[in-house]
Amino acid sequence: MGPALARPLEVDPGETLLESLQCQSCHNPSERTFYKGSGPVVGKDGLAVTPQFLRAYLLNPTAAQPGTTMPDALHSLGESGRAEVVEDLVHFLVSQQTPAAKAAFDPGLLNRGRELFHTVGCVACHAPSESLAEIHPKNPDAAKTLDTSLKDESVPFGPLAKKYEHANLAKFLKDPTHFHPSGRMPSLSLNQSDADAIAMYLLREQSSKGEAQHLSGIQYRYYEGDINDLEDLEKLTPLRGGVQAGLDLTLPHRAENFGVRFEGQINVTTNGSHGFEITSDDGSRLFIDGQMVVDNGGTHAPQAKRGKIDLKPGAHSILVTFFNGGSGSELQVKWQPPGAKRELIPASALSHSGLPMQPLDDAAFASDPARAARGKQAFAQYNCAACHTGTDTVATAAKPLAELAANNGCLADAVPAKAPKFAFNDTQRASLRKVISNPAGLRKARTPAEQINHTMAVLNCAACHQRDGNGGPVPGRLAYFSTINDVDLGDEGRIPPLLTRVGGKLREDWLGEVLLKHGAVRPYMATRMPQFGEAAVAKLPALFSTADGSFGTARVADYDSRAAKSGRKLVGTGGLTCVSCHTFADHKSLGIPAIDLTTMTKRLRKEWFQVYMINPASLRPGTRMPTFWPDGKAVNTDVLDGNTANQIDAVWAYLSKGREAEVPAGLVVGRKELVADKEAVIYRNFITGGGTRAIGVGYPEKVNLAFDANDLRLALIWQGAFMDTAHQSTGRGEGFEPPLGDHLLAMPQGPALARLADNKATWPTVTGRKGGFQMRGYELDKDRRPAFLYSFDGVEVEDLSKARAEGVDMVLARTLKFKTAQNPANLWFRAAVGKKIEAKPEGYLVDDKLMIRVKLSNGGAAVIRGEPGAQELILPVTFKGGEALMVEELVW
Amino acid sequence: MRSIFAWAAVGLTGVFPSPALRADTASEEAKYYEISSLPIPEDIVLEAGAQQLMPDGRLAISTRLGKIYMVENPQSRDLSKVKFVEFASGLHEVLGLAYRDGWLYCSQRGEITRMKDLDGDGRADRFETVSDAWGINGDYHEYAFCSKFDPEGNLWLVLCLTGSFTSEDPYRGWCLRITPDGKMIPTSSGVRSPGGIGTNAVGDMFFTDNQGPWNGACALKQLKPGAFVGNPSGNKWYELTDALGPRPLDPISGSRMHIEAKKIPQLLPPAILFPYNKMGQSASGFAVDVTGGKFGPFKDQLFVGDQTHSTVMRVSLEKVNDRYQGALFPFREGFASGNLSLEMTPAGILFVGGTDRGWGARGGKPFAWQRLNWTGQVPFEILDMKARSDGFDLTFTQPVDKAAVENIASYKIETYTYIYQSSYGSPEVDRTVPIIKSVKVSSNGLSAHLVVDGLHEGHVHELHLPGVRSSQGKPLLHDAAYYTMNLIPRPDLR
Repeated sequence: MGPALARPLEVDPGETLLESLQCQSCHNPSERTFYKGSGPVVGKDGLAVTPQFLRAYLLNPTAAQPGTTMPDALHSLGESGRAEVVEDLVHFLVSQQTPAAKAAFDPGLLNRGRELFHTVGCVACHAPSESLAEIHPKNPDAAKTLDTSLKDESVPFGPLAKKYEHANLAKFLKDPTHFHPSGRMPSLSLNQSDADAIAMYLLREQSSKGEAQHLSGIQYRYYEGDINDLEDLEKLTPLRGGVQAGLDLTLPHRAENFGVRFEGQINVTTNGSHGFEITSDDGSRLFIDGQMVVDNGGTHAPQAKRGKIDLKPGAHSILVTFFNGGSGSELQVKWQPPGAKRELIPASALSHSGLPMQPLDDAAFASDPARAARGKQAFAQYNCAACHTGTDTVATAAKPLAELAANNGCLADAVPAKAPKFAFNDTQRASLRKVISNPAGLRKARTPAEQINHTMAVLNCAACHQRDGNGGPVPGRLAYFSTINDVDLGDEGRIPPLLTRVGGKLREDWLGEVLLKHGAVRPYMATRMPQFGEAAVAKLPALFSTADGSFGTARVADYDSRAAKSGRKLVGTGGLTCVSCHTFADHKSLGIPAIDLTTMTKRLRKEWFQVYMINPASLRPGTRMPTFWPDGKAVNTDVLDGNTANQIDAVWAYLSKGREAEVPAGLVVGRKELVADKEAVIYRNFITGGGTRAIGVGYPEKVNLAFDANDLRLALIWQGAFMDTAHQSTGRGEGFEPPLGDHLLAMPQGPALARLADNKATWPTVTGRKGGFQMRGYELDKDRRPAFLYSFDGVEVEDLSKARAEGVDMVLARTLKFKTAQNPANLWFRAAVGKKIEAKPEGYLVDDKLMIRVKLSNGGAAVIRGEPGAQELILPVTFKGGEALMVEELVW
Repeated sequence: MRSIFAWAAVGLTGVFPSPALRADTASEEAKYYEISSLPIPEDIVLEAGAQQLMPDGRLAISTRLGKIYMVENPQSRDLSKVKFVEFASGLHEVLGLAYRDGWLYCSQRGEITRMKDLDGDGRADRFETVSDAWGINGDYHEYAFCSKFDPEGNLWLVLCLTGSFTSEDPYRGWCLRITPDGKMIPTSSGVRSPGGIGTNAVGDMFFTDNQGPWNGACALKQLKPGAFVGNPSGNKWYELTDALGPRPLDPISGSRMHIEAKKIPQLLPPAILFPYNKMGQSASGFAVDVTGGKFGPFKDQLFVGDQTHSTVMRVSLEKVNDRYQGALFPFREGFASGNLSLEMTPAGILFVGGTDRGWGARGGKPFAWQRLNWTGQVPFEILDMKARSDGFDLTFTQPVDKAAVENIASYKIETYTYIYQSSYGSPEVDRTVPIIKSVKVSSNGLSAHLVVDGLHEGHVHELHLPGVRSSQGKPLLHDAAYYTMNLIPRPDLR
């Protein structure tokens, strides 16, 4: 798509202002349909803000919250009278609020909030607070300085840190339209954890104040990576953290390869033996006061494990660790206090300690009932209820818009006491007067196109979307639009779609899903489609549909199972291979994750599809979607005799089956095992544990190895099946493939050879080319076994492994030949690293798993060194006449 | 606000007349250039990454899955004589093949390897690492394409970035030369995502680079020592070498290539831009016709594959002020899979290998290996298009109808360029419509001089010639040409 051209929408500024300022809250709307705004809901279920903010705001709205649309209703009061009324209102409003729980400052949550704030769409309207380089550190082109010019064209925040308790801001962010119905702040479909995180970030000024306290909820740290056991969590840095109510997996997590540590206090009320039980898939453990009570570690299907501990009443520390490697995940943590039933540990028993987030200028405040009662009267007197619902006060209506005089009331040069005073500048006042003084214009019905334009202007849809060449992200904000996981989809993956003729493209019901029911088909796009709520956008689908017109007529192709079969053939590999880029229900595509094909017919209008298939770029300029019917002519002539219309109809018929459709060819890939039959086979690729230049070797004896050609070391040995090549020979073949068989052992990382001053010297860590190693290649013997050739520091090495069985054990017999012009006396080979290495009569036993037998042709003795828990087996390379020979047999 | 109906008229039919009325292009093209599919044994997945004609007449073909086959009698008319023998296997995505002194060289993702059959059983047994002096991070984008040998015995290697946007390991996004003794010389920076590498008729090295960040459209770019070819993502590796001199200034995102090139002396703009969607979507391998006429009239021109559109396009280069630019023409469509590697033999057979794995292609077959032969019939085509200070010189493959060619209504021309930017691709921008003032046909009737008002430096000049006819009344087989005008020739250099 390229960058959108950020031309502003052409709308009447007066009319837009009229709508933004919610004039029709007091002045009943004329017959014309306006977008109808409202102020925040107050009262028990309303927006809870601090008394210090309320006070400052009511005393001087525009000073306390620059850019506010709330007029000053108290402008006619004198200074002291006003202060009294304000105080009464504060007492009234606060008395209606529900008190919030304190949250602890959490830097992990703050970091996640920073990222979410700058990626999910907040900065389309609000000013970014961090430079792009802070948010996308991996992008070398990201600007290192913050573009502060955006501030003037952004919706200001006001004094958030003074205004909100963390919990109250999070509540608002999670569901803004509940608190501000048809307000312009939309929901970005945040879950509780996302909302907590963004609130933490926005309130970052409140951090590090006060003393640690017990706060409700349990803290968690979330990890992702190649996690195969609980110990792996210790090696990883948490990706994010947060606080949640219970010990369960409600926190956002991916399906596989993740782990969580929950930490906090558990409050015990009864003295005696407490039972604990964890059911988990995969492993988990539970510790109380540092002592392991339940060990449910390892990889397994859901299984329950129990343990007991004597506890005294009071707070005890609790730690639960959990991981899930592959497939399904589950975690339930129960306890059984003395004399009680076994039950899930209730949230009320859990807490954590932390520094509470403290609103700025916080002071003790208790609502005085007498003041609150007077406040309630003031609330009615100044007609606050016209904009603010949530109390039992009834609003009074003013004259309808069409009957207003342009220079009176709110618009008068000197605003009378009974009218609220808006902070207009002259231009704004003039444009409003112009609108008001033309009642005929006000009564004139807007065309659907005008209604769309006005809605897009008022809701700032144009901040993200381009329509008819207008709108779209402005340059300074453009770069904040990003993809999730750096998927290779170009701008189509990060910039919200074009809305030009969207009503002709999308079905009305799908537009409704997108606007009102969180409907989304671009999981790769970081920016989320905002939800403005029924009152604001419910009419848009029909308006788009009327305004945009259709793309001709949909050909009527009755559903026909044979047409669907042809469609399936076209969609899969061997046909047009749509699945090369498009995902299909739960199946990944063979390449990039373009929009799920099974959603197409429920979203798109068929007549649009007919045009789009023939020339995608005509409707989506710059799209990477190619056509398979260039100039309307089918490139595939095998299916349906190459008839373009029939082929497109067949694809439609097939996709109409949605998720019920048979999976197209090419997506379900079986195992493609590479088998060493009579001779050795080689597989060079990205192999898990073998590096980016791994050379896998499978031997007919069903022994396998992976040699790391970057580090020049034997990296892995295993038995049984060699490699499954299915994944790496499908689609783009991305990623690392693990060995297929069993009895997998990882050999020492780092350099295999080193010059040591003496046998006590520390083994170096620098390896590969930097460490003086160079890959030379390999030569295959008559059984196609490779002798790896490499050099280290002037020594040429030939490294040939052969395999054989020895009873139930397998043996990999490795012969290393060294040649050099010098006769270095201090060259060592590191054969093993382990927790425990023992010298046995037949060789060296490493961690009870691997026996290493060694033959050194020119003498010299192996050395076991290091402390128990971290030992090494090193072998001297002793040269005679510039040559040395070593045989290392690995038996396992 | 623009009217929706006006938009629809532009959007749906395009600026130029719809070509849908044309006769079936592929079958018309087949009269002159014939595609024939070669038989591939059922158990072979021949995703041909590279091809190399061997001195003994066999053709070596490497695959994305790491095999190398020796094909016997590849040029035989009798297809039953075409036989596959597996020469090597288990290599890491081989996208470059070259031959020298008894060794077959290949580029794998992580190294240049040479191999030889020592025991004469038809399979290679010795594999030597010639160079691995660059980094690899484990991303599937990290492709490595090597050229044939240059006259000094060097191999030129272009390395794709780590992903679409970054260079995580040394020299990702660079061109390196590997000398006969295995020394690595950093040669050019600014590479994004190559699709092929090779020389033109005089031996200058080029590669195709794909649309993406800093590439508004796919392009054919020259490689030469010291050049920065446009994508700065890998420029941090200047810290590892002095071979190219100082690191170039970073281009300003959102600018235009020809504007930045005036500020950044090392920046070498593409010789040819492939207008996206019009001329393919993924430029790939290419071959030069130095057969002396065995492949038809397009002597010394380049034939460039496109993976997405399953086409071969034609390129004619010229030098203006010592920099390459030139014209791009449609040539042949209708290949069976996504074209990736092209190899032309001295006998004038163009071998085209294709794959659609991971990137869809019009052809529809998961992989294919085809030959393109000239039938001996000369199509009526634009043979060449050269820039002049006041317009263009066109030459044709056949004498033209003077009246039709001199009628300025026979032509349509517009120009545009692309935004030079860090985000992905670019729309066509800065559109202009030059005026064709006059056309003069030469006395032999084989060429025409177009006087054009409004040539635009740094722009693609898209010329359509719907009214042009041969002296026998035939329309052009392909009535479009896309000229990349890096510089307008000066009259005194004419």
